[in-house]
Order: sequence, then C-alpha cells, then structure tokens
Amino acid sequence: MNMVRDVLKEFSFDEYIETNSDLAAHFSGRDRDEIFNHFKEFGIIERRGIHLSDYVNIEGVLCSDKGDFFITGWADRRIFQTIDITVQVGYVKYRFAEAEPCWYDRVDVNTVLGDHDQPSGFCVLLRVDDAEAFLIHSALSVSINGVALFQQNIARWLSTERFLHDALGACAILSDRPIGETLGSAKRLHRQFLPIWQRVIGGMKFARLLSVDTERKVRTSIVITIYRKADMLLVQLSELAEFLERAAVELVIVLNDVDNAATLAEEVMAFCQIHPIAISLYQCSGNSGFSAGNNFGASVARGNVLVFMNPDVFPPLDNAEGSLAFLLSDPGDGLHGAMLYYGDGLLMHSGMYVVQDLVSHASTGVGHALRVEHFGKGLTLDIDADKKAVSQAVNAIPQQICIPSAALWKIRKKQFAKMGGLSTDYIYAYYEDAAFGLEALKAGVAVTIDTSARWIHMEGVGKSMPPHVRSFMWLNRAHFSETYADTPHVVDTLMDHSLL
Amino acid sequence: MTRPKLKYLTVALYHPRVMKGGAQYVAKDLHDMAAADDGFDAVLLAGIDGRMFPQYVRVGSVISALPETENEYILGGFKFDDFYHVVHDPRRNKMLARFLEDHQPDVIHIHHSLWVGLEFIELCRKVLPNVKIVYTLHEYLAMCYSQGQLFRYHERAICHQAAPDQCVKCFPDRSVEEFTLRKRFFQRAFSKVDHFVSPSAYLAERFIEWGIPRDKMSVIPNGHRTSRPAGWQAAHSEKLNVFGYFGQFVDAKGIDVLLQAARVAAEGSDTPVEVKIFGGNKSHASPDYLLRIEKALDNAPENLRVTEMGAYSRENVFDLMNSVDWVVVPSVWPETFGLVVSEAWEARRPILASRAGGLIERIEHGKNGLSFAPGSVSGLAQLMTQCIGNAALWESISTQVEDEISLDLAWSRHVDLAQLLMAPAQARPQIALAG
Repeated sequence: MNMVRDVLKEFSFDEYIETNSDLAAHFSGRDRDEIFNHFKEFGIIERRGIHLSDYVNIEGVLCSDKGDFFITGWADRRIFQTIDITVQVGYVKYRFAEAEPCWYDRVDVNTVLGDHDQPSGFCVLLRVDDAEAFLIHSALSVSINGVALFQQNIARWLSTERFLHDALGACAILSDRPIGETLGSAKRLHRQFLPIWQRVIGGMKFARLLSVDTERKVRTSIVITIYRKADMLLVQLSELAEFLERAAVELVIVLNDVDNAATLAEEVMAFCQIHPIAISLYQCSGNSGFSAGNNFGASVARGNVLVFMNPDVFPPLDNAEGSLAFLLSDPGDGLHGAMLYYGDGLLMHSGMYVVQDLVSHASTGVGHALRVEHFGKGLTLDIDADKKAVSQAVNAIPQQICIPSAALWKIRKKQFAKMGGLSTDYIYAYYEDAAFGLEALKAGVAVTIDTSARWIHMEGVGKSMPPHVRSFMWLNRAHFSETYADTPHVVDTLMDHSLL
Repeated sequence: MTRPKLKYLTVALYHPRVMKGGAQYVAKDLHDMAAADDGFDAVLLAGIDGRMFPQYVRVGSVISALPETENEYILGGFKFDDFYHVVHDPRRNKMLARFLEDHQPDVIHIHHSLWVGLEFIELCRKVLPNVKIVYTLHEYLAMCYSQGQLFRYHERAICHQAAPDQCVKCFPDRSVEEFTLRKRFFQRAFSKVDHFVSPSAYLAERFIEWGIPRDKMSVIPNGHRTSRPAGWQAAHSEKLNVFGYFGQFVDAKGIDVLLQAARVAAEGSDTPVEVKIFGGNKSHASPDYLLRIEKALDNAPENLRVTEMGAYSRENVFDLMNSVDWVVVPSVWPETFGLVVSEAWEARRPILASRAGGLIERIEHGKNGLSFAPGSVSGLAQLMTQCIGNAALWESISTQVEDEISLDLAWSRHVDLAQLLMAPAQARPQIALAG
C-alpha cells in the first residue's frame, strides 16, 4: 500500500500561496513550516481551495417581518462540521454563529455526496434578539460559513402568524418521520417556535359579534371554541335547543379563524329567534389555538361552572337526561369528564391515560416519548348499555391515572383559574388537555369520569391532516413528553398492554 | 250546526307558474281543492330559489303575493343549505312569523323542505303551538342527499340501505358523521310534524324503516284531475309499434335503457319500431348519460326511429299520449309515485314499467300494464317485441286500465286527515296506514 508518510514533504506550498492571494504577500520569504502551520490552523477551517457552494445549498428561506427566519437546505457535514449563518437584511447583518440545525436523512443528497453515514438535510429556525426593533428591507441574503448562497432583491416578508404556519408546514419533512428519529429535533424546535407562537397569541384580539339574553341568570357557561369550520354549530345548537331554552346555562362561542363569521352570527341570530337561548359569539382576529381560545371563553363566562365542549359533541338521541344533567351539576373542586361515544353509538372512550414509550433510532439513540391513550376504546359498550355494565367496565379503570378529554369536561371557574387555565405552551392544539389533566392529578384535584354523562363525539375519521397540523402535533408531543416524563401518573408500555 | 272553517296553509316548493313539476302540481291541486271547499280557507306559500327567479322576489321583502291570485304567495330565498335543508335568516324568520300570526292557519300542509327550510317547522310550532302540521313526502331527500332519488349513480343501482356509511360512497368528500348528523337533524325536525302523507306504500315503508312512526304515516295517492273528453274512445296505430316516453330527460329516468331495448327489439323484427321521447330538462342530464344515449343509437338498425319531441305539459299530455301506442316508464330509481302512470291510464295506454319503487304497487303485470326489472334492457326488449303488432294484448290491457283515484277523492282523504288531527286527542281514532 502506498502511503504518504511525510505530509510536509508533499504539501503544495506554491499552489497554496498562489491560489490564496491574501497569503502571497504575508508569507513571502517565510519558511515552509510557517506556511504549513497556517494551513493546519486556519486554512482547513476556512476551507481554502474548496469550491464551497458545491457542498452546501439553501433550498428555501421563509422570513417574517419580526426577524424570524426558517431556512432549509443540505450540506456535506464532513466539510461543514459547524454551521455559521449570516443573514443580511438591507445594510444590517445578523450573525447566528450558534445555529442549531435539525438534521435529517436526504437519500437524494447523500447519493450524490457519497456520505451515507450522517444526515445531510437540514432545517433551522433563527430569530433576531429584538423582534420589535427589526427593520425589513427589500434586500435579503443568507450566507453559510461565509458562502453566499441565497439572495433576494425583492424579499417577501410574512406576518408572524403566516410565518409560523408556513414554517410549521415545512417541518412536516421531519414530523412525518418516526418519532424515535426526530424526538430531539422536535424538542429543540418546540423551544425555538414557542416565542414566535407566544407572539402570535399575544397579538390576537377578540371581538364580540353577538350577545343574546345576557340578562339570564346562569349557573353554567358552556365554552365552545371553533377552529375554521363552524358548519356543525347550528346543528349542535339545534340538538341542545330544548335544554338550553330552559336551563340556567349560557353558551360562549369563540371563533378561531372562522370564515364568514358575520354570516354565522346572522344565522345564530335567526336560530335564537326560534329558540330563545343565552349565547355570545366572539371572533378571534386569527387562530389563537385551543388553549387561548378556551381561556378567553372562560374569562368572559358568567357561570360559576365552566363546561368545555367541542363543536362536534352531541347528546344521545334517547335517554339524554343524564347527559344533559352533566351540563348543570356542580363538579365541586374536581375536574369531571364525560363518556364519549362514536356516531354509531359504540364507546369511544371513558377517559384517557398517558403512556411512556421507549423510542429509539440507530443513529440518534434512545429516548422517551409520551402517548395519550384511551380507556374503553374498542369495547362494544353501546351508548344505551345499562348502568351496571358500564360501571363494571369503568370500575376496572385505575382512577389515579385517568384524565378526561377536553372534548367535554367541566370544572368550576375558580378552580380553572387557580390551575392557570389551559397551557398556551402547546402550539395551536393537541396535548393541552392531557397536560391539564396531569396537572390536576399532580395537584390532587379529584378527577372523575361521569358514567351517566354519555355523549356522542362526531369526530371526523380518516381525514388527512395538513402539514402544519402534523408538525405542531409533533412539536406538542415532544414538549408534553419533556414536561411530564417523570410524572408518577404516567404508565409504561408494559402496563399499557394490560389496561383496557 | 255549521263547523267553523279550517284555515289551511299549503307550503310548497315552487308554484307551477314559477316552475312546473310533479310536487308543485300536487300541492297546487290540493290548495285549489281547499280553496273550493266551503269548509276551508286556503292559503298557499311557495318557497323558491330567488336567484333563479329574481322576477318573483322584491328587494327587502321575503314574501310577495303572486300576481292575480288570491291568497297565493311566494317565499323567496337567496341562500339555502342543501345538506341540512336550513336557511337561518333573521329577516325571513321575522316575516314568516308575522305571516303565520296574520293568517293563523289551523293546519299547515308542508310539501317540501327545499327552499322552505326545516326550521320553518319549528317556527310554526313556536308561533302557533297548537297548529297541526301535515307533511307530504314527494321524494327521499330526507334520507338521500343524492337528489333524493335513492339511486347509487356509481353503481347504477337502487339504494336499498340509506345508511351513513353507504352515503359516503356517493359522496366521498363527506364523512359518515356528517350523514349521521344529517339524519338526526331531519328526524328532529320531522318529530315536530303531526302526520305524514305518502303517495305510495313503497315510499311510506321506506320512511317508516328510516324512523317515522307507522302511526304517523298515511298513504294517499296523488289525486288525478281528468281531462278526457266525454265519449272519447281509445285507439292505437295500425302496427302497434309506437312507444312513448314521458318525463324528465335526466339520468335516473332510464331513457338509455329504453333506447337500448328498442334497438334490440328492432334488430329482431321486420316491423318498424318508433320511439317518441317527450321530456324537458335535457340540460340537467349528465354528459355520461347523454353519451350512453348516443351510443345506444350508434349504427342502429334502419327500422328503428327515435324522435325527440321536446317538453310537454299537463295541458297537452292527454293528446300526446294518444300519439303513441305504449307508454314506457323505464325508471332506474325507485319512483315515489309515477305521475306519468296516472296520465297514461287516463289515455288508456298500456304501460311498460320497471319494477321500481311506487311503480311496483301500481302496475299489475298483465292486467293494467307490463313490468320488467329496473335497468333490464333484455327484459324491456322482450316486452317491446311482445307488444309490437299485438292488438289482443293492447286491447286486453287498455280495457282493464282504471283511472287513479280522483282529485276529489284524494282531497276528501286529506279533509278526513285534517279533521282527525283537529279533533280532541281523546276523540281521535287511530290513523291507519291506508292503501
């Protein structure tokens, strides 16, 4: 085998000096050791002599008018061991020396680069320190390790909410992969996205579109937060109308990003002409998410008891007394949930619990991820099943780990406030109800599933989720996993297999 | 002692003057009968799509009087949720409430929820808690979102099980849950109705199976108003080879089946075979349907002659019926009644009808008509072959045909129903499912 034994002898001193014009004058007449030492100390790091843009590429840049940047691309990590990103906006340079890209496998890139050992695709989320002081400009350029890779003379700046939406959508490339491979990235990205999400909800405004019968003395406020599609609201109101007309109950409807909210308000008004119910309708200026929407609803609610209800929850057709009574009875200091059934009358679940799974990936190692499971899912307990059969099944549920679903639960307003409401650390939606349930268990709040409250949850099945939704579910799961990993109310996978 | 007049409000989808159609003719006929009955004060309110017929809708007004009529009104709308059949318009509710308060009907006979809205039933209950509400079912819209036809276009077959999981096969973009809710929504609205009327036992049974209590359902055929001249004699062409189709030119009516069968019959016969198609609304037929019709006539035998005769109305249908020997009703959807059957019987035309829906109970094979399996080209072709030149068969059926029940008789049964509903509950006999 031929081996170069003495690198010094073989180093092309002349070529190094000639191809690096800045060195020529400085090293003129110096000895060869000095020149070689420069190469070892600086030349290698500065990738002198390498045509860098053949080894790194930026494929997409999203930028917000508050100085958020989401950059996707690829790099040969044998050449770029560290990533130093500089964003120039007009005349101002922002250097992100400690950018933390999330790496993922890009088979297409790896095949060309020849590096099959480490992921080459990346995405990175960057934020300037002072969002309010950030000034937009028409010119935008991005460099990685000094290599100018992206330039726009007419940059398009997204509002924060749109940026969040699009950047989350771009993260689907990661969120669609097995959780074992991406858990670390998800935790990091959640931390990075959180300030942006908080800025989004901080800018939300709620306008009252309609208030009917505000004089009614109410004991319970039913808060329904609707995202985008409100097509089931009037059907839901219609099913509850007879009860709502005579009960000391008000409805507080919060509309998140609902199109034609004014038309909806008119339709609700028409409904109220026939059915005198107490109802208020609030429109959010954007999508405040499930937590902030419900927290707002709770803040304007007049009742001492809050019932949080999804817009796709309906009472049973027959024997609805127990179900409707759930809306009126006082949960005391506890958190009470309902039995939820599918549209065909079969049990959807009788409470939830949280499982900790071991997740792993050959290159990223082992971690833990939490999963929310449901008691009774798949049991052929019909909505009309007799109380004894239901009690038998429910008695087997270990109450110390059982939490209700936010599709339908109730809590005193004071208790809700004491617990700080639903956590807004969860981006848009998912996992905040499980987090609230675990917080309740941790705080010693009595958590109960009311077996006489049987409701139908017309949850759509089999519908594909848009990329940004898949991403925030993934990020929220990572945050939920990180927050509650050590909670005693979480069971392990083995125990999960014995729970029904 | 004379009984006080009953105020009878008929609520229809469209008015024959706005747009012709079977259900609106039935509603208008019954309204006219009520108007002519000394025991009744009749009012008609016809819901219409104001976007299609803006000339009938006044700016800012929801209800307008139909010119040169007494007590006939148009209820114009500009939006309608065709899935849940609701309108939810505050201005409309206000004016409808006022209309009901002004007219104070004792009985409200609703003939449709399209462009009327299911919430109208609830509004009636709110404004007039004691009013009796009768609902005549003219199609299957409450249980079938596919034009209320219970016909699976993707399978080209009658739907015998309108369950939510089956509905999504016709509407893949909608969920099972949506159809479950739709059914609940209709059933909730229908629970406020005092009594239902179906023109056929088939339709009645389908709705009873769907959830309407049997004791709230009566069968009253659509009454027939005769236009047959006195002394008129039924006659046929010399060769008894002219087949007529009367109806809409739309997919589920089976014109393609008729033409394919006529082609088979002509191929096996030396006699010319003539098919006359009387029907409008061809623009509503699907391209696929029109293509099938075109294909059926590709390279057709020379002895087959097919003529599109255009639309017809009930004013000239008797004469047009007499221009054919046999009337073919090749529907592939379960017809709820089959108005054309009454019209053919009036002209003593033997009918060749598919065994679909309400046609099954009306056509007695070999007695007042001939029947074949829905969609069966060979079945219909066989019957057509049997009919061509068969004077004995024609005479035998033509002489056995009887008219559908008269409009007078049908109205008298509606009067009975109204009076039964108005009677105090303890004095009210059980309303039987009448045939």
